[in-house]
Amino acid sequence: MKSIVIAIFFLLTYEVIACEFRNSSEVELPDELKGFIPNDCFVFEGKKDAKEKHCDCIAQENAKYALDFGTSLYDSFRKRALARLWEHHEKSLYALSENFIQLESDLFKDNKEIGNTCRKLLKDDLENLSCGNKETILSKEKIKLIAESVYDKAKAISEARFHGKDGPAISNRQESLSCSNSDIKISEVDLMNFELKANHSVSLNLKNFLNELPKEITKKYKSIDEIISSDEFLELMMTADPSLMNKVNYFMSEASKSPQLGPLIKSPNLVDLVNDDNYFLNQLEKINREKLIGNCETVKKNTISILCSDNTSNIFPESYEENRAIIQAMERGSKGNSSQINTYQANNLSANFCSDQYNTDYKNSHLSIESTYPLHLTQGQNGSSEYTPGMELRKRGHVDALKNSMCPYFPPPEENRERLAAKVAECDANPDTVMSYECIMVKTISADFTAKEEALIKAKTLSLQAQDLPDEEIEKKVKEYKKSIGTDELLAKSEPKGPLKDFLKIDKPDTQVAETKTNEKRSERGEAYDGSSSEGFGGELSNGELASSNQNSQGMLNRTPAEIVNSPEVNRNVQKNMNDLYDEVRRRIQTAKTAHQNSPLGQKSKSVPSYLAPAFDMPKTASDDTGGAAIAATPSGIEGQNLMPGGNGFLPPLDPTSTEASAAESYNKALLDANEAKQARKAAEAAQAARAAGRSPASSGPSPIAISGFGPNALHTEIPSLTISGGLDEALDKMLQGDFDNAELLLDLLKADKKTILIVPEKNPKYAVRVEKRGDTYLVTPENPEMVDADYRVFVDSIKKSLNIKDRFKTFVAKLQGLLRGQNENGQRVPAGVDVLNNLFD
Amino acid sequence: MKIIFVFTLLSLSLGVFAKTNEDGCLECDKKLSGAKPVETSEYDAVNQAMIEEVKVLANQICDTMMLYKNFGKPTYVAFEKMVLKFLQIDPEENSNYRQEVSSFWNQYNKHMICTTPHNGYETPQHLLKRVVDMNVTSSFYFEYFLQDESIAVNAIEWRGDQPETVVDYLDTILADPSSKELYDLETVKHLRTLLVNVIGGKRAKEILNS
Repeated sequence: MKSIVIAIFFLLTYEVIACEFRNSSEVELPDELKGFIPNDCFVFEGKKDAKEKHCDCIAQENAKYALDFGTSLYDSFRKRALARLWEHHEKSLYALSENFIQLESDLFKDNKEIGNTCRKLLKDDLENLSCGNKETILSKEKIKLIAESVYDKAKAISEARFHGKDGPAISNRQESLSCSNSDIKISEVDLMNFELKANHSVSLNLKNFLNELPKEITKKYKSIDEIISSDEFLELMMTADPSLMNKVNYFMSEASKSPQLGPLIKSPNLVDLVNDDNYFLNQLEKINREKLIGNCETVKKNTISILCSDNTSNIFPESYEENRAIIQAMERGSKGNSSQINTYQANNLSANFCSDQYNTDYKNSHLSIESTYPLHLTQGQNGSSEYTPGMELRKRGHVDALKNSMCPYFPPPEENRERLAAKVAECDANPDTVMSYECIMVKTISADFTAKEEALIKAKTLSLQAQDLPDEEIEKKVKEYKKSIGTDELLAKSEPKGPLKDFLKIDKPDTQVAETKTNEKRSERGEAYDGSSSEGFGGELSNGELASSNQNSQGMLNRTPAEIVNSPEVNRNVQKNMNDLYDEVRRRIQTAKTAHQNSPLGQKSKSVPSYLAPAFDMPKTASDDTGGAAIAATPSGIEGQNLMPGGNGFLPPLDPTSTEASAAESYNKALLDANEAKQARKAAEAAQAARAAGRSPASSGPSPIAISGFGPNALHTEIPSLTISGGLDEALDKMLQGDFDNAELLLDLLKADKKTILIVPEKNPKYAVRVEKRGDTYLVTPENPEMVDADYRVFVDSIKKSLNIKDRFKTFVAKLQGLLRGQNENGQRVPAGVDVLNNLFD
Repeated sequence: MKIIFVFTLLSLSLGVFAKTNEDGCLECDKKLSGAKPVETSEYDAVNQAMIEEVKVLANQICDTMMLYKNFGKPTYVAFEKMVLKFLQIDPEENSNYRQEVSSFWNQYNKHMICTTPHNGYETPQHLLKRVVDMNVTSSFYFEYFLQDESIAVNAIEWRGDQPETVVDYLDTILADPSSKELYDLETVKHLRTLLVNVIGGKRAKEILNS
């Protein structure tokens, strides 16, 4: 409905403007010319000397017939030239909308004053535009009317684009936003936002890299330029493990090439600046803010400049293409009325163009428009100035490449989701690409989608559970729902919260827009919005267990999908997932430092294998490669590292007493409460069945897991300890293949309200790792920090990976599920430990 | 320590260096004669150790040159500084340092191979060819490297069964019609002319057949 209103609005506006620019220069030709067929001189498009050839042609044509069409033809041309400039100028509003939407990123703080400033510039300042005492080409009334339409149009475009809808007059948008071979439409703004998040991660790594450099370097040199030119840095390059330094090199190069980070990285005072945790974020915000304000000012200036064009001005363009576009528009006429010019008139007008009677007005306006909206990047071959979305990306020339490389990872179909997970795993596994632009973008998208999918699935599960459906049906429906979650749901927007909100002056809580968008898209796909409409998705809960949960969780449940994926808790989970991405790169950088510190010249080749040969059996995970898993060199560097959001420049951890945190915890608690009874029942049944089935052959050997400090005989204050042989994943793997007693004990432990568990490697008990649950994340620290060495770090790292990297954990769960299926086929039953593990670690 | 190591090696190698050809192509004579040259065991041991170090250094130089290129800095600076650092020569104390770099290069240029994969670059790839692929030909070759006309440029890199010098590589580029999108062909041609006419650059077959 909204889009129809917008379309009608624009149609009306266009009519008003077009009428004003319309000419009335129809002439009667002399009889002797009526049988004469003039030559079309606009046939030199794309040729290097098009203007020269065109003007030769015009000279020859005009020599054949000398006609005087009077001043009305030139009045008409001036108006059409202004219309052409206005056509370009209006495209600036799309660039403006991109600026606005970028600043809507969750990374940025509230920028209220900018929205209001732009609103003043484009609305208040352009109201009643009179152009003073100037004799203008356009009438005063028309100037006023057109000037006042600027804000309305900017508003409509920005609002539409924020919600991923087609803006008015974007004829090629559909094609631009569609991924080939699928129905998925990706907004260029979404791509930019992913890039922004990726930039943020890269900037954090850069900061970390600088902090990891030896102090003697950062004390002496303050810019990257000075650092990499220094002898000390070259020595570092020569003494650290070369393959790892290569990764640092790669990362630095990627960062330097980033259009947003590049200029920041080259700051002469970078080393000091990064001490401010929010330096990069603030700078990125500042750049975007200045760009937006600058563009708003330019749009205002250009509006006045074009509309207030002096009546005595020639307004002739300098370029062949522009002249052609104006004259051909006059030849086509306006909406088929009688104002079309004929070829004689066209050739007559070009004679002026060829005699170089143009002044700088047209050129200057054109250049000024270009400063906001680079027309040369977007104009079609036919000279049309259709808007092409994605200016910021397009300026760098990689919007299409980016879209093509990312499209295969956007669901549906389901395979795209799997492809995304596989690519992330591949990036992790390949040390040479982990810091590549593609991998960072893919992991950013994965981090974003994973958190949002999980939230949507949780809400869906809760909604189904509230309907008291059988477990099997719930499971089936959830699986179906998961498959149906597409990119449109994951990228659905709620309402603007940043400067756009103030620019649009949104007063109403318009959640319907986002909801409508999602439902419209579902409707396009011919799907019913099962259980996810505002009625079904967030319906009142009457289930006994759930009804006991508090008002906050009720509030969470009543959210629309768009609200869920844009909720603070989901954003926090996105950031947590981004932490993993950041962490992976950081580990590689830190290893480089470790190598440097531990490897005097000539010793490096000896030091590397020690990273690769831990003193215990390591689980083989995707990123356990090349020793990149080794982390900080000092115990203080390892404690609590990167698992808590505040430790790495992301948003600080929420105060557990804050409303947001308690809402999130309540939400999680509601889910756990809802599941717990069923799962406990399931687990008890499964354990009983397992005992009845007897032990599998795999359990005949020593158990890979031993649990102590837990159970009826343990002290209440004792921290439960999980002794494992091999890696955690591997031990759990083995245990679930047959050690049902310990599985049951583990199940009980995981179900219990224990916040801390020690994980102890059997071969090296001194390498105990403390796992502490903090809200919805885990703090993994060495229990004996004073004993930290390379092997210990590898072990801590492996535990951390098992617990915190969602995708990898999902792989682990999938593997376990496979094992369980295998056992079921053999007629044995096993504990439903996977579900419990999943919930605990989820 | 390293400088002692290098000088020991240099003195030990005096006797056998003559056995190598002028271009530093240590194994060319092996291929030609099919017989192993007579070398002392001391030389073998020290030389082998040195070669291993040079190989690591070469890769570090390649990486650092890439970094310099990305930050808009002259790549030859990275090259020279790292070689000097490797040789533990302070250019402020040793006015002859440029010759030291050249001597080092002339002896070990065969091993100056970039081995770490980088997107868009062949790997392994001799440093002289990598410079061309990095499109820093002018600043590296013209402003620095070829200032010393006695510098060795005929290291042979075996790509499968095919021997290839930098001159061969430039010929391949110039023969490929798609090269104009990747290289400044005028600069490539100029480099080839300079290498062949002034420095004595040759194709691999010319060296092997001589």
